[in-house]
Amino acid sequence: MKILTVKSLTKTFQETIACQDISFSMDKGETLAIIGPSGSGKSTLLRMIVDLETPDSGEINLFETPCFPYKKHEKSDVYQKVGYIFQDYNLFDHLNVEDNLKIAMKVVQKKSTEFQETKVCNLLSMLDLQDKAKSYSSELSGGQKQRIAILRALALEPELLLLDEPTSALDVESIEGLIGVVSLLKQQGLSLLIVTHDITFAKKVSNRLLFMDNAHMNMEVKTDDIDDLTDERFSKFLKKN
Amino acid sequence: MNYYIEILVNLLSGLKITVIIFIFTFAFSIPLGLFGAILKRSQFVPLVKILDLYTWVIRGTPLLLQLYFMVFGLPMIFGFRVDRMNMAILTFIINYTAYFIEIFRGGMNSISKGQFEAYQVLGFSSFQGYIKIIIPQTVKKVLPTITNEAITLVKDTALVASVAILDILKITQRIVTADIRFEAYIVAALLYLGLSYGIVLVFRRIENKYAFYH
Repeated sequence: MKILTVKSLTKTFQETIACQDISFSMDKGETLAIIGPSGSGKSTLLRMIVDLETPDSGEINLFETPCFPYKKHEKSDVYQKVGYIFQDYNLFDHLNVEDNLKIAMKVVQKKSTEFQETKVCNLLSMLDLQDKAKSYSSELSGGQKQRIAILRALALEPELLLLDEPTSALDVESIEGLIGVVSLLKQQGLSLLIVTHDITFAKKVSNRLLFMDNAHMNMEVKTDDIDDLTDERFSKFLKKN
Repeated sequence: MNYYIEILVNLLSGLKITVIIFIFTFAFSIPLGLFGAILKRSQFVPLVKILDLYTWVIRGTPLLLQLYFMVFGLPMIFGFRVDRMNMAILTFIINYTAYFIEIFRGGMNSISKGQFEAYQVLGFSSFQGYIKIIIPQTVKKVLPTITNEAITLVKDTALVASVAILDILKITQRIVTADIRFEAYIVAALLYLGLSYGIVLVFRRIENKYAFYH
């Protein structure tokens, strides 16, 4: 089953082309990394997939359901199966960790208090964060915030998880921790789409890489073949990273 | 001393009027201000223009003029009698709502775009997002400004004396004129100070309640 299909997606901001004619697809259970330099349009692509930006043209299908272009009444439930982790996490500042994890279950899914309690308890113990249940965002480190953001998305039981530049604000130790978390999520059967400029991280976590440069999707690479590539732009990017 | 107590007893009915105007104004203009701020952030241009006009007119003209217009002007236009107290309260609500719309709008604008996007990707409707995420954060941000507005409101209530409503100031004027003594001014000042101090204490408690996060 194709969990995500993107066809000829284009997005322009005023005079700047952010994405030009992007096409790719993803299978269920796959971990795909989109790599490329800053400003290549990777994050915009991810934001279009979760409906935070509207494409100018093209098609997006999630779980074989058309999400763009869509008819108003059709737009909907498929987004519930997609989790999105922001580059700067965006935890809700006025809620503690526990309430950050509970709020969407309560407000969107209308789950019982008992269900929420159990779920939060399981999620926190999954990443060994039980002692942070009552902490606020301002009291957490970058790595902890990120793990809570991942758990907040997992609370809604998504089938596809999108991560936007997950390593950009992390130190080496936290990146190692993140690799562990990603492996855990893969084991649980989640499909992952990761946007990153960190080639080492991308190689470690993904099966397949897509290289984006200057708003275009330039190349598809199998992770194992990455060191044998001779493409000039890709080699330049590898050298920088 | 007895004279001071006598004044205080006389001023109590005025105090009641002041408190009633304060409570009604606050109770209505805060939720209306919040609602107006949300509407003003909407994409619906005609509504935004109407709200712009409303806040421009109300904030650009004196409250006293608005009070005269509502209490004396409207009956002239429509030829009906109005209850001055009700009209005064309505004027204060209309006036303070305009200020609160701008205060809350400023507060909401200062919340990072990421907070709005975060509730969106979690599947909240705009209404749910505002109620659960945006409004609680806005209130914390604008609390000091609201405290200022509350203190200003206590003092603004004295304007109703000019449309012959027997508030603290109007009764004070009457006592001073009748007795030809100044002490009533001091008692009135102390009453206003007491009210303002009470407000500061209440809002300090609310601010402390919100101090749990940064």
